[in-house]
Amino acid sequence: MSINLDDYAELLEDLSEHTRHALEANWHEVTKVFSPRGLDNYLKGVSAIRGLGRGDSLVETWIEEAPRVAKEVGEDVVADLATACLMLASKTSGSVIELLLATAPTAANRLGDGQLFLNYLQFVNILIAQAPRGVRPMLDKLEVLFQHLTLGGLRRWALWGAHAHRTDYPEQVKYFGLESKESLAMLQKERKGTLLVDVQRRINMYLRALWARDFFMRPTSGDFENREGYRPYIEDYLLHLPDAFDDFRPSEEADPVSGIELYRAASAHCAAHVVETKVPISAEALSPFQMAVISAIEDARVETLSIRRFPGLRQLWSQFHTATPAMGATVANYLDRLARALLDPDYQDDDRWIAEGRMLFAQAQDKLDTNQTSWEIGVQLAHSFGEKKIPFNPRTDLQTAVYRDDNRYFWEFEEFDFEKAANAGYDTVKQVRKYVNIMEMVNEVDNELAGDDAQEIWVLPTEFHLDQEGVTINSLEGKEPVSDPFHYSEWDYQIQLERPAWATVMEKRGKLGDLQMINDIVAEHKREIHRMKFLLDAMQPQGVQRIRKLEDGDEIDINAAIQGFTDIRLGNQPDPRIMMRSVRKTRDFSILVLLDLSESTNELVHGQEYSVLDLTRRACVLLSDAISKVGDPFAIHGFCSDGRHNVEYYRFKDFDQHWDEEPKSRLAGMTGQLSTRMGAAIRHAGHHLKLQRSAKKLLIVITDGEPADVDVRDPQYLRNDTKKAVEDVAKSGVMTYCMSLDPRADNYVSRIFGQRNYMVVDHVERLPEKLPLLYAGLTR
Amino acid sequence: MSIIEQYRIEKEPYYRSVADEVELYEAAYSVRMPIMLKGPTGCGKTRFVEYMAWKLGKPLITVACNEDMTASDLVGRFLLSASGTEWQDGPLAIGARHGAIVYLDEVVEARQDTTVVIHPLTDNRRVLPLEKKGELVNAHPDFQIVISYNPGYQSLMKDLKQSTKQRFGGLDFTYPEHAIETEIVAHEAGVNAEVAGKLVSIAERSRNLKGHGLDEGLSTRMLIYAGSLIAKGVAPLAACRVALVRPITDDPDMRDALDAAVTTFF
Repeated sequence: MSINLDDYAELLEDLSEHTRHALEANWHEVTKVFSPRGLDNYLKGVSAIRGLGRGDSLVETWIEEAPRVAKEVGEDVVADLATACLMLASKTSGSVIELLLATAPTAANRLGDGQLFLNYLQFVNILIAQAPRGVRPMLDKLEVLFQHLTLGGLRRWALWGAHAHRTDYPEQVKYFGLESKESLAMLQKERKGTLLVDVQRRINMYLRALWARDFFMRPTSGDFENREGYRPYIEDYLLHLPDAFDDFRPSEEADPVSGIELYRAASAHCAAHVVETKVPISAEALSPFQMAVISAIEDARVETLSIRRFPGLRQLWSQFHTATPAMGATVANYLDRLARALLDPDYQDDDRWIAEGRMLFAQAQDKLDTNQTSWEIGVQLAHSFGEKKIPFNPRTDLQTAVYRDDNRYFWEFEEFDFEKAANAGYDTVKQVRKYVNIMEMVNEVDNELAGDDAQEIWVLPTEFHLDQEGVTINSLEGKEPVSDPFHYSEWDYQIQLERPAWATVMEKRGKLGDLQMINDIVAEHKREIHRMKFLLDAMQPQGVQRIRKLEDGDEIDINAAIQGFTDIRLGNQPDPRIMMRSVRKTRDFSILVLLDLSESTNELVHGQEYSVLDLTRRACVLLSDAISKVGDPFAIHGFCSDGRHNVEYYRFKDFDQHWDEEPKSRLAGMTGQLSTRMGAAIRHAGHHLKLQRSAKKLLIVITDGEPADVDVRDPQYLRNDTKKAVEDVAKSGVMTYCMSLDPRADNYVSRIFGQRNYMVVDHVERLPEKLPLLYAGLTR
Repeated sequence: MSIIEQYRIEKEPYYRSVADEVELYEAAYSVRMPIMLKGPTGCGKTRFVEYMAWKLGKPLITVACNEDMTASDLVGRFLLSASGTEWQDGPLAIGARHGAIVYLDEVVEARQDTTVVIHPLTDNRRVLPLEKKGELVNAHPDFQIVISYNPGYQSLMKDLKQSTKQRFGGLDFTYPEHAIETEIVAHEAGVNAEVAGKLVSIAERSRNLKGHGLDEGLSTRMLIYAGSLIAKGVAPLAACRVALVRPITDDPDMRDALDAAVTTFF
């Protein structure tokens, strides 16, 4: 998929010499990051920014930074980034735009989401109108600011400063440069709270510890501007929790309760609903006020039941109830007081209505296991509330305890299926295969080639002969033997959940190639093979080794014993270490080499006449030669992908196969095509390694780029999934090592495979010698 | 006979029977059937063997197995002495000669080629050949072998050979149910039933996490340690942190979850 820069000659004519050099220098990386459409946008951006006439360095900043932004949050934002720059051009100087571009990758990295990044650009645009002198110092400090603030926090911090120092330019500069006192004070105030993504794993473990089952949690995004509108809720058997909780202050002087405590309280409350509410409450014939009271009672009911099992939960929940007897203006105040009274036995409240609620609830202590009780108490209390003559507003009179959900769970659900609830998040769509007659087929089927995600597939019970080929469809389909599909889950870092059975791996048999090719490679690399011989000989298992000079070995070492007796006769102190032990030295490794066979491997190696694929093949031949000499069981597999439904997996050599003509000619026939969905392939390779009996299992991944696929636009997604896949196979004892042929790979490769488990081959030409050495080093 | 006397158990060890394991063991001993005890760590396997040895009035020789252990460590070896070499019996030979119960703790930790030396002792031959010494020891009529292992956390690689497994009768041990475990913790740690009950509830929470970040749940032994600290006047939260949460995991998220579970009880 290499695209030639020269094709864009007319677009680049205007560029100065220096800028053109900059573009050429970046071109290699740019073509890797962008799809053809993205590339088009990128180059249009170059000419548009050039058109602003603000100098070469601005254009060059764009050339360098735009691909980095695309790498972080996807290429879709690049066009918007260019538009934002053009809009700013009328309002500010070229150097500020340049600074914005230079810091854009930082912002993209911190925000980690395309939509948020667009919001950020919008915010900068607004700010420049309000505090024109503040933008430059702010961009200078952007890294620090994003460490402490969410985007919403940054916006509030900046707008506060813009309003406070609207006309006082020196103060503005100080404020945005984080040099004034109020600036730091505001920063402190807006500091982001606890994020769900940071504590999700803990909360998961916490809930699992308490209830011995899994609950699925999803972050919901609240309103960034005022932090209102956050309310947990339960829907589709998932607990939806706000994406961030600030520390909670029960009152001005009290110590704040940390965000994670709040997460615990909210998740435990939701879990209590899921566990204790077994049948829905019918909302039929109930007024909104009755529903509100019943909700409060039902909350108290599930909490009481949970507190019976886990007494500490009372303390956890009651710290978020702040209602006092002094509050009595609205219905919401009374609901809060009721909720507190039912939860907290130490709470004093003399109100008659509250007392009645407490009494009714206390009387119902032994029939709390059904929510009918909540209904009865609720209706009765709602009736007696009438004497207070306070109007009820269903929109504003809500309970204020922050951790409680909105109770849509037990009002809304119909025909709750607990089987389904327990399996929530594990669902897979079943495909129906239906046999139909020919007329139905002709009349109804509109899509001849349905994929794996089709819900129904129609087939004819009888054979269908194609006229021109003289064969049936069935025999055509049997052209290439394909294994049954293997389904693997994929990790979605944005929802922090596995997408179950998301990627489909098909094993295919590779084409046979010309065996002569392999023999030529062996002949060509005779020198290297000879050089490695000594190294490999040393690695061969030695069989039994004797360890001498032991005090407590298995056998007497007769030489040492005689020496000992000689010493005794001479009156010397004998050496007591006269025993020896035989130790069996064995090698216990299985090695799987997983090759990336994506389209990019067809590119020629810089300045050479052979492609990356040729080089990989050579490396495999040398490695296979080496391993078969040492005698470890090894396999060579390869993969490429075309969307999540079709991850193709080729087995060139299997563990139990000899390194003879068949695997050799399969290796000769290997070709490169499509994309790189690495996570699914690693999971499948892990599956093969798990079947091996060796104690140590090693997976060597050879790739020339990072994970990418045609149906994924977010570059972080597959990176995170691959990382997860590496961790998953590590759990079953498979160590993964990556050999990257991408010289710029250090950063993401170390994030995916871990600090020590990768190697970047900078001189690709040397791969054939390096691979066997790597093998020797890893398995010594 | 003095060498064997040191292995006798003088005082009755505390053991709370959970089901019919005491009777089953007695019956197995009466026909000298080798026994294997399976169960998670700290659930009372070793205590059970001590108790049975005391109850049957037999000496008990315990061997903690490890990967570096060889057959000589079990059977015995020649050592150098002033006058020449001298044979020293290993624990298995001592037990076989004098009629003790030999208890091989965590037997899967030993290599498979080591464990085969117990084979002749565990079938109807009941002999121990001392090849190097050229002696065949006929086992004393009281002699019995007991092995224990934890099927949970060991990897698939560490398992007993079928030929070893099939020489034993097996008793499964798990953590006792709530009431019994509470009684055990209360007795051993010297805390009241309420505190013991809370400790057991915490342990049950952690056992829910087995396989979800924890390799093993909190054992009864850990609860007893935590209870002992509480009995010494340590604040319950601190005692649980020191004796339960900190030892079992290094994962900060897991610690946090367990600490939170502790606070739902104390």
